Amino acid sequence: MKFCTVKQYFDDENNNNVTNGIATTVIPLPNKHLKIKANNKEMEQYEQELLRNVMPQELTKLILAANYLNFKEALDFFCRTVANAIQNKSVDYVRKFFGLESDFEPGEEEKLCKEFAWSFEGVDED
Amino acid sequence: MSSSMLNNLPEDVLMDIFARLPVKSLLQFKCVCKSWCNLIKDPIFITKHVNQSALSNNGYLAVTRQGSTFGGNCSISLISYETFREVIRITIPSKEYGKAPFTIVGSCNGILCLNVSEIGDTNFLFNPATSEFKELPKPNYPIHELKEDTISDFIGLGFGYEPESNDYKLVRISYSKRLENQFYSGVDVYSLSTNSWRRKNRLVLGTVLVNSFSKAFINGALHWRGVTLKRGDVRCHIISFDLPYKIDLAKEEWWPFVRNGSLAMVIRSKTHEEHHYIFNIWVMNEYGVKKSWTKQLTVGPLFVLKLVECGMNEELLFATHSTMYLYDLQRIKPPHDDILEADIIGNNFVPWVEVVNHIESLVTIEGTKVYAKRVRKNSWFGKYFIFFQLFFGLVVMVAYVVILPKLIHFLYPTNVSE
Repeated sequence: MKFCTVKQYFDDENNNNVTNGIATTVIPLPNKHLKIKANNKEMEQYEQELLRNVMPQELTKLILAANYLNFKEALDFFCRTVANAIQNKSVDYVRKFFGLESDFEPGEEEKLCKEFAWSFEGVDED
Repeated sequence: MSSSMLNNLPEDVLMDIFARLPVKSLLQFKCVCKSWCNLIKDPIFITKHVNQSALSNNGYLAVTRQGSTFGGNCSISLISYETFREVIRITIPSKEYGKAPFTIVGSCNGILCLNVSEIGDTNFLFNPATSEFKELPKPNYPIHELKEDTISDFIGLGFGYEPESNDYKLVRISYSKRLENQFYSGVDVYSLSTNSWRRKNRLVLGTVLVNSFSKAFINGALHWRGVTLKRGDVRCHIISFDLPYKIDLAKEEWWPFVRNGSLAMVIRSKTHEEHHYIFNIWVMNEYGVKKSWTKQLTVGPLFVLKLVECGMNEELLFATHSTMYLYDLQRIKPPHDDILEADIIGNNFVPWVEVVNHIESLVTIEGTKVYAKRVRKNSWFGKYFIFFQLFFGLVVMVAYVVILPKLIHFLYPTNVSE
């Protein structure tokens, strides 16, 4: 069954991976899935609504929750969402999105960028 | 708790996200930070990305185009499956051979195998996404000396990938001998991992017909169209499988290919109308079982020369000498007899256009990094080009009708009587 880890979660009180808020979002997903299993469009709409106001930080927590709970469909969906969000965006946008900083040596980054200069063309506006 | 933990995502989750991204984004994101760069370069990730790409609809059709009229190099067009319009054109980066007419032997995991010689000894591997280009060594095995220049008629090439050894192989089949009333061909195999050729000890039954490239790589085997002898009669033969029936070579031409995951074959028959052909598509429902050949559908008569490829979504691609047509069976209802119902994908391809299904990948072939000129074709412009043309035509017409008389009046005022 999908939720062998859920039982473990409830048993383990000092769990920081999944907060209550997330549990209420992620766990009802499979029930909803079964209810509207045949209708993909409805499911898509439901999922879009779910993520409409979610900031990247929240998304992280959702992903980690889904990963911890071993919930494949939700993880699949969240990864797809992130991929769509960062596809064809600029390197700076992606750094902000993930909260990352460049750790390259001064010349290294430029060298990398030059190697595939064509891939930087036609990038979406931030 | 920290505001953003996205930078702490586990590696396999990151790989899952990256595997869904196009190569273009991945090459950029190498510059984000060191750990991302290493992850994107990781062969395990590259394989995961290839497998994911095969599932999605992000494929392309790769076709070679002639060089420009001013003697430019040949180029490869990538036509996207989403719009069936050319999206990228990449010039073949070879100083020595660039102007020669290249043909695409095949495409596996984003690597194109290209050929310039009729006897199949000058070949290249090219990954257009990573700009790696590699000239393969020549097979130093002799080809049977047939009369005049007919030898190229009996040579076939095929490009495939072997997952068990993670190796890319190029196979050349060439006529070897006629023994006890039967044709036999020799097989030479090039392996990328050893970067060398080897000739197989055993000969293969049959001989390849008319310099063909294997369009059918399925179940780990390459298939060519060929002929064998049976009781003195020439019989058509997919090298190693028999055909469902004897084909009359005078009236019919045929090619094996892959359709929806099965080995298939198209038989082209002449009709009483010149240059109009009927195409019958047969599918081997159970691989290796001769009785499982079933006629799946008939298309035609159409004013085209051959069926060049079966699309990823079962579309049929037909071609004349240099124009390619997309025949979408889901959109076009029977009777399938008018090529004008098909979409023109383009023209100015090399004669006898070869088309393959292709995906973009980061797979490395350990070739040299070359500068391959890569031009994005603005599909927006292409779509509305017809309107630009009409608009321009309208403007010209208006100018002719309205402005010209005024101009004449202005230049020759004496024409006007006061």
